[in-house]
Amino acid sequence: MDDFLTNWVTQLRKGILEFCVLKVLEDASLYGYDIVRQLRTLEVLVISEGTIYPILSRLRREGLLSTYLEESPEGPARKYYQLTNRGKDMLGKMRGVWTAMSQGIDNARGTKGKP
Amino acid sequence: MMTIEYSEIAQSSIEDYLKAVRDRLTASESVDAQEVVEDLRGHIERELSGVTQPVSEADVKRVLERLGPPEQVVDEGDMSWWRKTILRLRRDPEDWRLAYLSLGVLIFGTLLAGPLGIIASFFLSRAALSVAKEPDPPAQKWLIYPSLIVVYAIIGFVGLLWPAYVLGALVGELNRGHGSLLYKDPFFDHDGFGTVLAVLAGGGTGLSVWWSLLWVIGRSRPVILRVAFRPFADNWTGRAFGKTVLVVWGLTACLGVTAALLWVKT
Repeated sequence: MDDFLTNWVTQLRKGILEFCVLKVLEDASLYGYDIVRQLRTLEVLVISEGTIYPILSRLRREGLLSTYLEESPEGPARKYYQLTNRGKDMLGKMRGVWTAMSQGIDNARGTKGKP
Repeated sequence: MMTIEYSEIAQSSIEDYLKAVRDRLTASESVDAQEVVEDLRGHIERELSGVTQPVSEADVKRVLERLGPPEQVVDEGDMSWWRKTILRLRRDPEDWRLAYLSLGVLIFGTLLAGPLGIIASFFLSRAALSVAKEPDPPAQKWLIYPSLIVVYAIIGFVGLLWPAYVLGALVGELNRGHGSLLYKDPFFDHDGFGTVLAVLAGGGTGLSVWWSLLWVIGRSRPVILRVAFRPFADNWTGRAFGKTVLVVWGLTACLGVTAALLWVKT
């Protein structure tokens, strides 16, 4: 891929992945592997599944996620991630920005009607 | 942890992978390295829990490929510049190590050892070029170009102009009457402007002959120039080189002939 496009996709992917991780955790607490499995469907975004785990760690450090351990019948206790109140608030704000950006891009259509 | 039995090589692949991730994450300022490595280990075990045991290297490889290479897992944007540099020196392929080493030797080697530092840095840069994945590596160019430019400029300057100096000095000296062969010949017994003309004539003739030779070499064997001045001459063709030399050669020859004619008349 062209260097410029690679950098552009990397930057775009980074921000959107954080948004998607918060969004996946909006309705339920999940453990790391399940978060990755849910995001697998977004193939354009998740090129390497391993990238999700540093994002989870960063979001936890930022206070947007918290973790707790829960016993598992299949083995040792699993670490579950859940949104904190700050995380919920941030997700709402991010969603607002996302909507505004999408609409802005739609409104700034080119002459041929392409985004 | 789940009890999963691995083949020896599979176990070693996992540990190597996690170590590489940990090394990179330790340099990251925004994540907890231990936490991420534990999560990754849990992910790997979860993925391999259903496969036949002992788990083979191929099964581990499949899971690690989906996780992505360590350098992709860790975002280098989170690291400070000096941590990135140390990390690249420790972990990255030879082309990066050599590139950093080249710049380091150019700066510190030149301070300590003068021209020897430049020469050592030049050879490191050429080695970095040889092992680079691309012929003209864009990412490393600011590390390896400085010493290449310095050495190529010196080689180019000396290589192109040495006949002007040697022949110009020789003829000038002869003109002053100090030459051994033509010492008593009144023809050379000039000074002042005559000496200047003699130097120009000798230098111009020397350059013309030398560049004619270069033109022949450049036209017939451009690969010599491409190899000698990598990567700056990578796209040079015999025709392009021939045209350049021909123009410069023509101008120099005109200068030399005019000077020689004037010199004879004075």
